[in-house]
Amino acid sequence: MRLIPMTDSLLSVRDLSVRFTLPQGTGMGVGVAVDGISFGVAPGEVLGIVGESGSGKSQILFALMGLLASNGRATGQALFDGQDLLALSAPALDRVRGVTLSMIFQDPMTSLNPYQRVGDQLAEGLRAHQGLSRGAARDAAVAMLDRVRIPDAATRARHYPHQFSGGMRQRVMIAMALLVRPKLLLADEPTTALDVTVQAQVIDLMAELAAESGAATIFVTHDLGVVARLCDRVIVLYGGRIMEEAPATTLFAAPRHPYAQGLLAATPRMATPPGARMTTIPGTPRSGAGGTAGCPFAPRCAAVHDRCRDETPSLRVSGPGSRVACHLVEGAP
Amino acid sequence: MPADLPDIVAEAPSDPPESALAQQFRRFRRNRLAMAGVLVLTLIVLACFLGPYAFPFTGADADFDAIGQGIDLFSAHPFGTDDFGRDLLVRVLEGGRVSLTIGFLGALTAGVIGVLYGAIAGYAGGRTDAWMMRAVEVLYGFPYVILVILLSLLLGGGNLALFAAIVFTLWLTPAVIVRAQAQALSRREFVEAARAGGMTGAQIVVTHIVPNTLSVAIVYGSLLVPEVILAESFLSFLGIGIKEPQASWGNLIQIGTSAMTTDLRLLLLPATLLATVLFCLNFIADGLRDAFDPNDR
Repeated sequence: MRLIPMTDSLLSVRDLSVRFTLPQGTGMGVGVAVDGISFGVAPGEVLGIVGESGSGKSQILFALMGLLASNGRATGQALFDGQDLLALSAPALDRVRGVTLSMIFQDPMTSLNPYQRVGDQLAEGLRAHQGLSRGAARDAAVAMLDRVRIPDAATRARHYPHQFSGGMRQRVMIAMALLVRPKLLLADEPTTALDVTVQAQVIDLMAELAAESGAATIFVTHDLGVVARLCDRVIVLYGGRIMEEAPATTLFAAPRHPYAQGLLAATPRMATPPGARMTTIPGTPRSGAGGTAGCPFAPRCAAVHDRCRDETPSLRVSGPGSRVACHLVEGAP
Repeated sequence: MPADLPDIVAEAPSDPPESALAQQFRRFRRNRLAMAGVLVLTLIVLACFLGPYAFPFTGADADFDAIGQGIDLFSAHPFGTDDFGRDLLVRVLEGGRVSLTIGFLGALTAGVIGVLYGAIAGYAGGRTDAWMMRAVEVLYGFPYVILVILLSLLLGGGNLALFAAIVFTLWLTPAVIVRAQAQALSRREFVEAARAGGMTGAQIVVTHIVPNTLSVAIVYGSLLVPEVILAESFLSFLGIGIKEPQASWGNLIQIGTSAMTTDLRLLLLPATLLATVLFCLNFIADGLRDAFDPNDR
């Protein structure tokens, strides 16, 4: 088990908040998607961020990438390679994105330009950032397609995206992200849009390639199975706040936060007898975050008590490498 | 390579690479009417550009022995001559050169300017977009004939002024159409992926936005060609376009109209050719729209 001090971090995020200015007339003003979270990623580490829809997990990645929607604003600090990603100018950001930082998107069906040959799209980044010649970039792209096990890569590189299946397109996206040899790879639910059978292949491929390239990875997903398979460390997000952070083995063996416990209990298992009702967490996920006092999970928590509604629990160390934000967890003052 | 990861070979990887644009053109080639339009148009274009070389004289040479001769298919002047003894057929073909060149070049230039302008405005969005589109709206307000007269004065008249005036007024609509496309495209994930890959705005516009607007631009461009030809003819007809002694379909029709009551032939030949070209272009545009419209399949 690794306990990563913040100083050795490749990426060190402090007090990151993402706020959206909502259109006039909705009566809401500002929506908070991510509410003051801090975490670090060590070189070579695979960090999983799990949470349900609307928990703000994707917005963390978009904030780091400078890709927030035009009405979104990120505050806080995200030190990566000695630079604060949130404070970089647009040209400076373009020298980081696609060079040391790259991203895999959720939907492979729409992430490729339908009018450009797959090989050319792959080579684009190399040509733009590393100044490779057309031929050299194309060779590198073909080699990378081969690495992600696209059969007959040299021919396939000349095909257009609509001639690829979903799983193959996602492999192309993985190839594109890894081709520039990034230090940090951000993956935004890269398996959500895929068939279950293809998901497993893509996950294994990502695990293998991430280990091989030594790139650290932040893997955003709502699939705990993926996390168990891939991640060293997990952050459980709810309502834009970190509920629990722990090494993956610890989290799966003994979740501390009621929300993490609920998530794990709600995971269908092979041992569940057929016809048995699935365990669920009652209530609906809150939309947006912040603004109110108390624990964001309080309205749905089975073990809720008065203090949870009045006082926001802070994130406290709860074990080696673990942090939990819950008033109920032992060790809390 | 671990053995537990089977390759996906379900799709035939031997299919040749084919872009969406190539697919659309393949659909277009199955449209008989449109292909007939392409054929007739090609013949007319070839006739205009090569035909005059088959005659021992040019459209400017006057044959004083045959002034105002009528149609006699087996004489030196098959469609006769005009009041100055110039061969009508050769003049119509030479006029076709001017009209077709202005039509295609004008549509191309207006299309390229419009596509780039619209793509930049649509991708940039926000204040840049707002200012660029306000500029377009202001230009839309210019009365077109007055603009041509002004430009003719400014550029000393002639073909260049006409060309500039036509392009100046006709790039606006493609810009508006492409800008709407670019706005939608700029929210697509592959553009986001390109930004995540550190591409600059200019690179994204050129490699991602513009190619994706091409099928719309081609369809609109095919409607633009007849529009430009018609505009040229109209202006030449009014006497502010191509001027005598240079021929264009517009001023030939104008001469023909003035002699209409006595000799219909001077009007019919250029008018028939113009109408045929416009028909062909409209059939082609129709076929392109059918082949390119994703909602009409």
